Amino acid sequence: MYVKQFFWIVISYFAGGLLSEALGLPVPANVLGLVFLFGILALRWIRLSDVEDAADFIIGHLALIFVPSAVGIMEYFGLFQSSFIRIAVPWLGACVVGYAVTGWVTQAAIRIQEKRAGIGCDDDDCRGGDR
Amino acid sequence: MERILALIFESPVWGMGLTLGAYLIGVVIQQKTKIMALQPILTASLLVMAVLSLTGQSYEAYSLQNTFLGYVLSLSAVVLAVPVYRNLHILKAYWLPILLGVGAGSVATIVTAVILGKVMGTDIELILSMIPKSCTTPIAYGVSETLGGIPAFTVALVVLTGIAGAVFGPALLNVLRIDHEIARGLTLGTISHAIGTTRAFTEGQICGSMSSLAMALAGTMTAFLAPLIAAVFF
Repeated sequence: MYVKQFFWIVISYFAGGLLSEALGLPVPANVLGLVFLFGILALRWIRLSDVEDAADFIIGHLALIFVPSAVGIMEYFGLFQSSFIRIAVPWLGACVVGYAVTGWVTQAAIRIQEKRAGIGCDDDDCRGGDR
Repeated sequence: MERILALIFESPVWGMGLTLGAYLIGVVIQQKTKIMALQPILTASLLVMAVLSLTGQSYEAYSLQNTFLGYVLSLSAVVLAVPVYRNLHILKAYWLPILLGVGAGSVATIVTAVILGKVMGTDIELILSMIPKSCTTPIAYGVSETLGGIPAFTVALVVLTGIAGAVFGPALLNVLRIDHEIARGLTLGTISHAIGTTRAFTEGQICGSMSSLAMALAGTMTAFLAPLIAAVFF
């Protein structure tokens, strides 16, 4: 039932707002709401099916929800024009470095983990062979 | 005639209808042409901008008519808990590579933006606005606000980052020799958030789920780390 699902989502958002006030963290309320919703799922206070459909509905239409904010770019055309290089260089650099670091670190760590798991197996094989 | 036009333009239904209609056209164009660069959000935003300029309406008025979507936007960060919970088994099996990769990537992209911005002499306000550029829009908006950036400018950069990632991301990953599907999905989601995730799903289910997991993790990590990093540099 969508109403119940949206209820849990709104409650989580509200809890995030309360947490944000109570903890005084410089973290947006909706991020704390995300953490809260994950928490109550992980603690099994609610089931995945209690929020799943509504969540998938929202996630499936994220781009639509972004449109009004994206249209806000029109207020900054002048800024983009006057500081184009000063915006473009750090932006592009940050994107490329972000791709390289995320990808390389993840891949290297996965390879090390899989290799370790692999060596563990080989050791067992060796032991088996010695006997 | 003018009175009727004024009545139409002042109605909240007009602004929201414009958003829905433009997005619908964007989706149809993407489906027909199958060109990655023609993301519905890009087509839709350009269409709305064109209509607003042609009819001489202000962005402020349009934005006000879309207050409801603004509220849903803010809520939409919360539901990202669902892809994280759903992929908990992969997260458990690969928790170290995933947390290391997303954490290192999020920090690296922020630090690079700040350092290059300082080198280029970019305004502090603009650099601060650039820090959450890899977060998904609802998180980026809040982080930008918290840091003292310009949230609307941040959203512009977020959309550009997403579209650039959806179009060039996979090619860049090939150049960087990142071929493990978990690493590819994780990278697209960490840097190019929701729009990169739609592209990641075209590479496969694992790549896509990893991307949505990474989008939530990277957004959350950035929200917690950005104020600390900003405090170090400014």
